[in-house]
Amino acid sequence: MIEANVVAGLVAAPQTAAADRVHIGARLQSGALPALVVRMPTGESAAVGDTLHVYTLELSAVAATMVSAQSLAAAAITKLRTYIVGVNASNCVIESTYAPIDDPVVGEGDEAEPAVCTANLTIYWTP
Amino acid sequence: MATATNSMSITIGANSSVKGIGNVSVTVTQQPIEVTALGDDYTRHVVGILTAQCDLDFFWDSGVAGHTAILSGIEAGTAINPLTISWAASKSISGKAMVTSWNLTAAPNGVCQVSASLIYTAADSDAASPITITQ
Repeated sequence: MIEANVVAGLVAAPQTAAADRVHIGARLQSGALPALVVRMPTGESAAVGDTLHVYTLELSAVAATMVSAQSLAAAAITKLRTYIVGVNASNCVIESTYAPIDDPVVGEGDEAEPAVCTANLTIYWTP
Repeated sequence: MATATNSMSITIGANSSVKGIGNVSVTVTQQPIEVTALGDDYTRHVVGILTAQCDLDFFWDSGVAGHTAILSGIEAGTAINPLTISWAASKSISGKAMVTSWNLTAAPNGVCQVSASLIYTAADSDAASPITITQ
């Protein structure tokens, strides 16, 4: 399944700055930064006969500064794209992906919360 | 009871179980012919000519023979025989079809998709119905 490849691509063969801080679903607030939070909210058949599946994947890079969050997001996208397409050869297509820079959130008082840069990927995969 | 489509398959010419078909719809139309006579109190019709159209949406893959068969159909006028839409075991619509349109959509950040329309039709010499419905 492509889910296993996503996890393997980001966690098992780490090459991103946050390789040992990849979280599936959510990150504990006490965790160290930078960190990467991975969600895969949808996966469904896109074609007749279950021959083509489409998944949406959300990568949130969380870091102390916006620059490092953006850098981590870019590294994660590159890593994932290389790994998944490499493992699945010609039967996997990832739509072009960008990681827009989110507005910095200011929390209580004047303290800025950690910077977040979120990329949404759409993956088409044939088993 | 409603029928689940998880064992659906599409056959395009000699290519069975064609991959990458995103959506398919078939419209069968029976044209009524009015035979109302003068003095009748209400209209009367008899059954006219049967016609059927199939719309296919698929993720374009030039390595899939069924996809290229549709392209050949519009380029060279090659008939698709049979074009079979099977949505469950022993439930299908099948017949000889002609490609009438082929519409490729390729946008940035997406995957190539094709919408094609076909009509089920008999050749000049064919006496048999061009469409068989197994329900």
